[in-house]
Amino acid sequence: MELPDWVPEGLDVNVPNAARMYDYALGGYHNFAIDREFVEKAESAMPGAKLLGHTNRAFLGRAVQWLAKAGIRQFLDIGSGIPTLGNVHEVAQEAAPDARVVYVDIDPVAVEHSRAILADNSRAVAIEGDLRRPREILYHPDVVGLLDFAQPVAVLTIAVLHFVSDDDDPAGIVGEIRDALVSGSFLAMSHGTPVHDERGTIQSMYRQTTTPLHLRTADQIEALLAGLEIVEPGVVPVSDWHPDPAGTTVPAHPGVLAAVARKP
Amino acid sequence: MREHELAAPPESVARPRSDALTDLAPATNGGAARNGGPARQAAAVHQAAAVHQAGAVHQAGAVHQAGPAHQAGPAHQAAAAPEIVELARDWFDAIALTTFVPGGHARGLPVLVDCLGQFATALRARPLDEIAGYRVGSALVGANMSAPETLGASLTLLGQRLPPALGVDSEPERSALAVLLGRFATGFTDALRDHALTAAEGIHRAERVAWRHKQQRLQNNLQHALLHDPLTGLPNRAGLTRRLSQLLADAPGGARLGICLLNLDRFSAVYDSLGPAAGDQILLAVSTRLSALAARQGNVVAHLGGDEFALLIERTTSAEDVIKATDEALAALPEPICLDDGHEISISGRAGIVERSAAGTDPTELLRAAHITLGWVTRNSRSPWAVFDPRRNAADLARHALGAAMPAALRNGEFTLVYQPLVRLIDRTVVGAEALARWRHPQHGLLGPAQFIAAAEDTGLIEPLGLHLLRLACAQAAEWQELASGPHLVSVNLAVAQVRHPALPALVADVLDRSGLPAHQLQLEITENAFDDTGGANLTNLHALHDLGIRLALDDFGTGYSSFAYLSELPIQAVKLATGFLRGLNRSDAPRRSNRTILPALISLCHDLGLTITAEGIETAAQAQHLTRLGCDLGQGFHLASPTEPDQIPGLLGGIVNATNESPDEPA
Repeated sequence: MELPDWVPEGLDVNVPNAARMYDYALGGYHNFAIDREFVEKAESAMPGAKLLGHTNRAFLGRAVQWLAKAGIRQFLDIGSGIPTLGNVHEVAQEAAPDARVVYVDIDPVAVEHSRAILADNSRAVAIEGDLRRPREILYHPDVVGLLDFAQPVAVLTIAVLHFVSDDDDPAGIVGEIRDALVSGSFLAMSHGTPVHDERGTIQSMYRQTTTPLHLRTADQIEALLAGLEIVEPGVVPVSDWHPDPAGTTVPAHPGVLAAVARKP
Repeated sequence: MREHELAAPPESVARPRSDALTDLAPATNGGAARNGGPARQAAAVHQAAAVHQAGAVHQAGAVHQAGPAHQAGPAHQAAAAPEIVELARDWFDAIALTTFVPGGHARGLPVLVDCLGQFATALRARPLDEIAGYRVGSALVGANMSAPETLGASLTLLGQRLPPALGVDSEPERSALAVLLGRFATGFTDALRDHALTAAEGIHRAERVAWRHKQQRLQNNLQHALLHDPLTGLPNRAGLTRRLSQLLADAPGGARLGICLLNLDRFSAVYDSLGPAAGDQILLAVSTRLSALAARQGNVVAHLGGDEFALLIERTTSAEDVIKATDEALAALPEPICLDDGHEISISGRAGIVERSAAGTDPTELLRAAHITLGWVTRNSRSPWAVFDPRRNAADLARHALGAAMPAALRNGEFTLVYQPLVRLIDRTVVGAEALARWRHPQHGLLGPAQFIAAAEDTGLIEPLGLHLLRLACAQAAEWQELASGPHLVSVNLAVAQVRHPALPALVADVLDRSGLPAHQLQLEITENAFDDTGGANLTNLHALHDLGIRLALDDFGTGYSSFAYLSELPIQAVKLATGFLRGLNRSDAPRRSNRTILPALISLCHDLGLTITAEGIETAAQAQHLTRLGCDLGQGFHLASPTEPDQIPGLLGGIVNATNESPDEPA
């Protein structure tokens, strides 16, 4: 039976969920058995998968710091997941106490938990939203209530666009976001890219989740950023994007690419 | 919770250890000096302790999370010894392999430097400050260095590297360190358990809240769907009823309200010919116009389904308020609607209006009254709207009540016949009688056809009733045959539904057969409207009746849309003139040249076609005489003979009626 379109998106803790899987991979505890099982399977299919999560999360922290240094005081984090470990508002507000952050996720559980975490923070909110419908996010009352789009905004799409299929027109989505930003705004992105995993094990595993995976090459990722100026060092593995000068022993992994781009 | 446990560590664990350490303490202290450990190491211990006390803390914002590690110390700042920093760096790298550390080195390193400082201070303290180990374990988890593997990696690394780094080389010192590391593992695990449980509770709470919100949304959507039309989004019947109920419940005394129920003319025909998509477009356009209007008027608009809309008008003073709103609504409709396929269509509507006091009004009853009124308008009204009329409604109700009582009345034999003699005008001889239906109603007395035939037609009872009356008429006429002299005619009316019934000829043949009445003595009267639409099919019936030998008369000729074509096409023997033709035949009447002209021509035409003419409703001598002179064959009416009971008829048949005293009214 086809459900009428006003039935809300699924809310099923019997299906692995990207936000909670990511949390588990980072060593968090905001997840369910099904999420942990899936991550462990992914890890055995592609050793280092969990570390890839760490690397990606570390990039998020560096990117936010970099953006804050560049003068950005407004952040729109789409696909934020569960912002417990190294969350944007802490990093951003540590760098600039007046920084404002809106978290957006498709998973209502992640959003509710984010709200609980942000209850005392007047400069950060969380809303439920779907990146595939960017207008609903950009014009959400909580978004326009907290962020001033007449000023530069950094939109973060960290490890999320690879959940958007070509049918959903990711370039169009990025374009709509780009067009909503003033000059001097930024878009930070990290995106899964095909590597090692020739047989597509991980990709086929993700098909059992609510968010199947759509990996893209560096060229494809660069194409998504059309109309924006990609800042140095370009589209590179996440671990290579302005690495921590203090260094880290976490090995580089080419499975996720990162880029930060500026609206001219 | 964590702080509580730290403030009061479990006695059972702390006490014995504490005793042991007290004993060991001096030895530990002296150990370093006695063994003359490298000055570098001793310095490192002091440095680390200083770091702890001064709080490298201030440099590392993240240490706030470490809670107990943050302690007041001397105001002076001191940099950690390079050895300690190096160890902390190695420790951090080992940890980073096991878990994600938010903030990386920048946040993690100061925490670890501070932890090492605490270890150093604790080892120097007398008695041994074993709780420091617990605090450090706890601090690690607080800084999100909390994977199970983190503990293992830390114990391995600290076990190997702390003794040389802190100058621990005696056995008691090693034991003290072992105790500290044990407490470290306990602190880590305790904090981790708390952290995991809190996180699990948090995520479950979030899940419950999300579910509750989802259910709430679902419920709201469901509620909305139940109360609104899916196409136009306007309140539907249930939504309007609910609105009305609230309004009526909240209405102050003396408040009045009105409702205008509106539907579109010929919408179903448009829908059938242009298709559902165009139909939806029209409904949406109407919805938009009515909504705009209602918003301006401050009224509520509802879409009750199909092409039916309603305007709810609050705080009226009289029906005029509703009429005004209705006029505006109806005036908004005809503006052409441009359909997707490029067609333009203009529509109109009709409305039923009810306006009354809110007190004592029931929403359902109010809507029903509006429906009834709309029904009046759609069925027969020149005006595009009507206002509810309680008297008319009462009459409707009475008619419905009669309709409901009919089936039982038919079974109980309450339907009977009276007969009006048919008189040959030339000699005033009674040649037959027309059967007229009567209902001997137990409460209302004797009712004429005008009072119940329409209801019988509405309810579908007209067919069995017609058959019953036909049987009765034939049976009675057959009886008269034996009592009266000479053959005579009995004329029975057929309803439209009967004429259209395919089994009519067979039924009539059966009735004749059972009654024993010869077919040529039965005349069936049919009206023109039996041939309005499906003339072809009915003609077959008429020919079959004609073939049985039955006389057929076209009743009420000249009413409605008479067609002379019927006269030549139908297998009829007789025509009964509508009473309207008799107007203008009296001296006192205003001259109606038309009738005086038409009537002779009509009679002559019928005669030329071989048809007998009967004039009904002859009430004056003048009419009778005039018709006689024109050659009209038969007549009936009060002037000639009133309807009478069946048992009177045999006495009248073949006799003469009312031939005298007609001279005074002789027309000019």
